[in-house]
Amino acid sequence: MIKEIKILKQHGIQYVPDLKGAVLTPLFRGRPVIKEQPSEAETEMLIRLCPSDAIVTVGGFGIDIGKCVFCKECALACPNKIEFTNDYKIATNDLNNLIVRQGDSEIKFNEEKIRPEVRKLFKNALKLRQVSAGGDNSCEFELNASGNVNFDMGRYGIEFVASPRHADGIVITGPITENMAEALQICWDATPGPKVLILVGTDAISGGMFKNSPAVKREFLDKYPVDLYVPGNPAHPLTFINAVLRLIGK
Amino acid sequence: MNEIIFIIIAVSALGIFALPKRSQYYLMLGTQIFLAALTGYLMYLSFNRIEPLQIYLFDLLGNDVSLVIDSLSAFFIFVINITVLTGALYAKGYLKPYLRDKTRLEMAWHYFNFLILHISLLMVAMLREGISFLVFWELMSVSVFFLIIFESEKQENKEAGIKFLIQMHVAFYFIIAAFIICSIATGQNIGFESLEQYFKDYPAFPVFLLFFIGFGIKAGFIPLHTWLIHAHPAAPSHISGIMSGVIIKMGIYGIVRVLTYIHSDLMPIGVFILIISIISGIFGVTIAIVQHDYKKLLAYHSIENIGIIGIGIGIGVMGLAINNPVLASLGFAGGLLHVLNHALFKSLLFYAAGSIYQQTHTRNIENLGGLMKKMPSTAVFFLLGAAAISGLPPFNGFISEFLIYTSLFKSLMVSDSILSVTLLAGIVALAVIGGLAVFCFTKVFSIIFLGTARSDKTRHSHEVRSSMLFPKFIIAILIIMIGIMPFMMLRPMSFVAGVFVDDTSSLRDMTGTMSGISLSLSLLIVFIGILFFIKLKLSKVRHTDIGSTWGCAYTGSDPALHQYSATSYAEYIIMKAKILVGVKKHFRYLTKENIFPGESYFKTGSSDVFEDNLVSRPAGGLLSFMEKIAVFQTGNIQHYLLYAIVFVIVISIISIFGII
Repeated sequence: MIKEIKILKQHGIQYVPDLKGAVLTPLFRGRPVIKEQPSEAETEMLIRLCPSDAIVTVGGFGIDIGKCVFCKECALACPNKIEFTNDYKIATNDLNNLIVRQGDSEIKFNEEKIRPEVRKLFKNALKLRQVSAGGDNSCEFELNASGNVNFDMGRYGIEFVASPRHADGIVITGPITENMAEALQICWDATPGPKVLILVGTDAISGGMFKNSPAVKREFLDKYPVDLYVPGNPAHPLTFINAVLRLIGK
Repeated sequence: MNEIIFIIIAVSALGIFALPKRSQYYLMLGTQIFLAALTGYLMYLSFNRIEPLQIYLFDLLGNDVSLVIDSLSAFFIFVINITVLTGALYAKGYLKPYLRDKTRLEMAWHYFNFLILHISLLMVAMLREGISFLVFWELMSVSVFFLIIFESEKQENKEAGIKFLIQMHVAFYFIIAAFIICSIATGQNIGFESLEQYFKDYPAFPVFLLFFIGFGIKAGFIPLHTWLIHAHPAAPSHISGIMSGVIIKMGIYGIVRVLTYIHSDLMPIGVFILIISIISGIFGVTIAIVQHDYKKLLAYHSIENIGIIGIGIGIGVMGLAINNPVLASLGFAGGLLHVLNHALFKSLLFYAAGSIYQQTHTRNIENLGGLMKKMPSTAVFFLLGAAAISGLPPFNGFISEFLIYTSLFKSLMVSDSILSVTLLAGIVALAVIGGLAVFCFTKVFSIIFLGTARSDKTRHSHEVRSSMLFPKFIIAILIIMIGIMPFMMLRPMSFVAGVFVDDTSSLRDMTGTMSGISLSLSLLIVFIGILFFIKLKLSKVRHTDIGSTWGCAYTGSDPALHQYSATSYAEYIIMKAKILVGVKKHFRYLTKENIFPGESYFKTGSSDVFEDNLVSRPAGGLLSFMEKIAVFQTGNIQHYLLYAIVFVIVISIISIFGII
């Protein structure tokens, strides 16, 4: 008993005290900033270099972090033009806000798009059901970590539950393969309304590197409005938690 | 007066054969209602007297045969009438599908035997003279035999009926032997009156043991229960309900009647009854958990409840032994009230089970599921019966078990150490039995009614017709009434316990507690009703979605396969109770040669360890011995002539030499 108390004392404070103001290591690949517009030749080189077609050229140069796999190859190729900061607050509820252009200092949240019942019902408790629709387990691990002693999203009443019947919303990871499409639909139907739909990870938001694969079947996302996009490959727990907190208005 | 009644009953009974199929039932029902009213009147008369009510019937071989009705008989008359009448009401709807296929004679024979059963049950409860008692006892067994083999097309039903008949006759011999011993030793006529004298002069335990075995086979104490588990599934459901509700209680009646004459040796008798009842209760409910056939499961539960009744009676006898009127009166009252309660809820469960069988034609719960949506009323009645049998408030099972617990707890305080240990064993046993009963019934109810269908046997099920729901409704009302207003039963039970104990004041003292219980339970029900009403009002406003049951979105196969099966739910208990339950597994082993294994099979089954060792093994041994002797029966007439010649030669040699 005494030994256990000593161990507890040694651990100190294990949880991150301020989830909104935490600072990650500078090595973390968070939001990219475009310091200067790259030239035509550089843009062409970058388009060929990017493994997931994340370079946007319409309306000026931009990086779509919904498609970006955060491999940092573009930053290594043009270090004066593109830099990845350690800003982890990169989630939004509007796909257009995921495109980072020159001069953007943050990823904006679209307050008008948030459905009023989400703010009214889920402010103090949001129970989520996680569906891995063909994911590679990286985002699933990180979502698991958001509930652990370290990040402890449970302090805000956010929790992953065992059955869609208990849940207020579905969190999808993975590119929604053909084999999981029907199961995902059954799970969505089993969740009682009103419900939220959250996509976590590049694979879920845009299909990632697999979006042209014949094994991927993403019609599900055309049917229902998505409440939150959490980019990252995988998404960091702080990204996810801050995103959900922003969604529910905490 | 007696002759007129006798003629009316005889004419009605025989008249059943003369009527067409549709009307036979109504004649039987009418006669039964007439009998119930008659005996009900007698019962009412006898409750208000101190001395038993005596009605002279006729003269048999120089002895008076009269109906002697004291409070105990009156109580059993009440139990008999309620159960048989509700069974008869239920039989109307249950037998309807059979009317098409059975002949007029078969149906008439069935109704006739039903009527004879009612008559003989009532007479057994009212007679004291030995020969008439035994005649009606035998008539009861024989009529039940014919009722059990109603569906005689199936071989297993005939076997079950024959097993029943054989065991009933074994019981009969024990009872006759005990009666004869008493009669010869005291010089009086065969009958219960001779017991009075006998137990004054001789030690009580041996003859009591004979009576106990004889009546105990009827009651279904372990290890004498092996007929029950075959007879109940084989019989049609209205008969199973009556068998479980009343016929096995006649065994209890016999034991209790014998106990009224015993005034010595009470302690060993009490402890003996207590131990056998504890064993019956615990083993009964454990083996019940393993069963997949819901009627067999209900049969094992009857054994468990007989155990509970026996615990109450055993405690009562122990109370008489140490002159503790609290223990005695509460124990007897609790045990005998449980007779009534068990008759009520077990018959309710059997009738609900009969409805399920009529709709799905299977007794195997592994093939059912999701019946709550198709048969909601039956489901509610089954749930009511299940809650009552588990002893949950606010139903009647709670009241009788509460009385037994009270008697145990109240006497713990005034007993010596050895008695306290026995009483504690009783408390623990009752608690274990109650817990296991809840476990078993959650399993049965959930697998039959909840979830989704496990096979397509339930596809064509729908709710049964109201003539089958009506008797269940009556029983349900009685169950709830006894549960919520238990003080109503205290006065009759004090009369019944008064047959044994002079001072039943402790029962009257319970009125306060009982009123308290009933008040709190009624408040509970009102509270639940209010909550339910609020929920109903609120959910009308909201939008509700109706979808299929969540089965983890498995698209590979039928979601029904991913529910609990009965075996998996009960797995824990099965592992612990392996010795009792005798789980057998049959499967084909895969050998090294099967590189690409083909089709295989796996089958688990359970068997009753008592039946295996006490009945099947000796019977099997006897049969194989007989088969060896059957070598002599060659069917060849020359051999038989040879036997005759050999016999004649042997006899002549023996007589010539004067040995005989």
